Amino acid sequence: MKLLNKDEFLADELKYYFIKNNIQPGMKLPSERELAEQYGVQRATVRSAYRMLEEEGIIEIQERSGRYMGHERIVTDLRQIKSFSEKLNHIGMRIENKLLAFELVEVDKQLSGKVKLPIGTSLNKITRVRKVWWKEELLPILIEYAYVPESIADKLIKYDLEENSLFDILRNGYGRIPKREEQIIEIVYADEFEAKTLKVDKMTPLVLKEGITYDGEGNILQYIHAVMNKDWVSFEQRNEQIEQKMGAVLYGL
Amino acid sequence: MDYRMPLYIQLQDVIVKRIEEKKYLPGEAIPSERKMAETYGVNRMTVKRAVERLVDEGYLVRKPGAGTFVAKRDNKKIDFDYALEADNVGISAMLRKTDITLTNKVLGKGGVQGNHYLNYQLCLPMSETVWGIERVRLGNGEPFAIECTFVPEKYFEDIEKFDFAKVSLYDYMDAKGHLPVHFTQKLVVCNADDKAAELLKLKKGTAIFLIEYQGADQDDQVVEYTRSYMNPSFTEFRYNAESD
Repeated sequence: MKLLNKDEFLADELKYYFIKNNIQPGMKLPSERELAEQYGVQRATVRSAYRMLEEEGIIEIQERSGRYMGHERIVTDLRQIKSFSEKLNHIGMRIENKLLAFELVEVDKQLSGKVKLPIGTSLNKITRVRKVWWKEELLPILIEYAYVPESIADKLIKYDLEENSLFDILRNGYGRIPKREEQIIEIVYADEFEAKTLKVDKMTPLVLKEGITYDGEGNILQYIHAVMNKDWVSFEQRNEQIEQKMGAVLYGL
Repeated sequence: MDYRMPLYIQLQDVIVKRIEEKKYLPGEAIPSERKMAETYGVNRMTVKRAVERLVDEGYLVRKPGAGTFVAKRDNKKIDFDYALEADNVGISAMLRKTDITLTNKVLGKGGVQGNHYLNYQLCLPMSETVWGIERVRLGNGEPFAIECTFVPEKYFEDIEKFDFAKVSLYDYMDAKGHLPVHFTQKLVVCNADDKAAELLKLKKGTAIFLIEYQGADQDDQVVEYTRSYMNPSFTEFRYNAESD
């Protein structure tokens, strides 16, 4: 069996073309005919390569209009703790934060296994939705349930949870410095509430990230359960040396 | 080793040295008993005795009808490759169930020329050839990942000779002095395209994990670019982040 089929090879070439030519989100991409000529392949091969890039979430198709470069993803650094807004500022995306609910809850048996706290512990439960501006529309991309022990952050409700990141509030309001996170990433399917909130169909696959944040003394600061639109997120570990090398080689290729 | 020592002990020593020097790699077959008897001019019973002792000591594994193989370091863990387990790596893939027997199947391999994206990922000028291998990873016989790994051919000139369904690619790269130790990683969730769906036995469009990584050796040379598609019903990912 051949290692790379023609369409796989072309999909690679197109990814390179996007990088080399610095193709920006929302930019219109060349037609099948143009690319077939440019790369000396059948139009069917171009179509198939484009489909692969679409499945990978790199490009978007608009009915009767053509193909466009997809949006960027919101990157979670696998090594470094950052709040959601810090991540977004990084790539210059505009977001809005909406507080859906603020409750005081007690840990029950099911929650106990997740937050690693005994039943009966009082927690602030904050439900928020994150929206990004894309194509002049405000798009909900993430629902986050944050549980913060009352013993860590008493009267949390008095802070503006739409304007401020929870990390900033914990740092500045309570002197609790987030130090370490243990996270799990899974794929889940949207229930009715999630589908409605994220404006997707029920059973749409979503990315679930859940885990606990600790401070330097090992106290549990928060337990987060977040479901996200899969096309908008990526989890990355970067390496400066490798990136520098790639930058240097790009000129010569 | 003293030449007056019994021959089977000397032979044992020879085999262990070959393993330690990575001339025989974990998972690879050692020469047949007949061949070793011929090579060293000893009786086949002598070879048999040496091999048996090394099987008992865990250096070698006999597979009836197939031959004698160099044992893998850790049969349970090793084939879920190193890049997803090493210390300096952000994310680890975890199999949801334990006691799963992992096997590999090689789908294709060979040199790739003129692919700008692969050369870019490996930081190689276009004059260099990329060598690639595509494998399916199976857990209890069920496919859970498709993994394409690309390496610069210049570092691994005899790579064609090895069977990476049995030998760990990382053991091989280590033996060549180019074990990846620094990594970039990127995990996204995407839809299974036709090929991924077929190989993972999923419906087309099913959400799957796509994890890509680059590995650089101790001299910061990029020696690996891998992309792996994983069936989410077998795997989940974990990571630990810290603040500065």
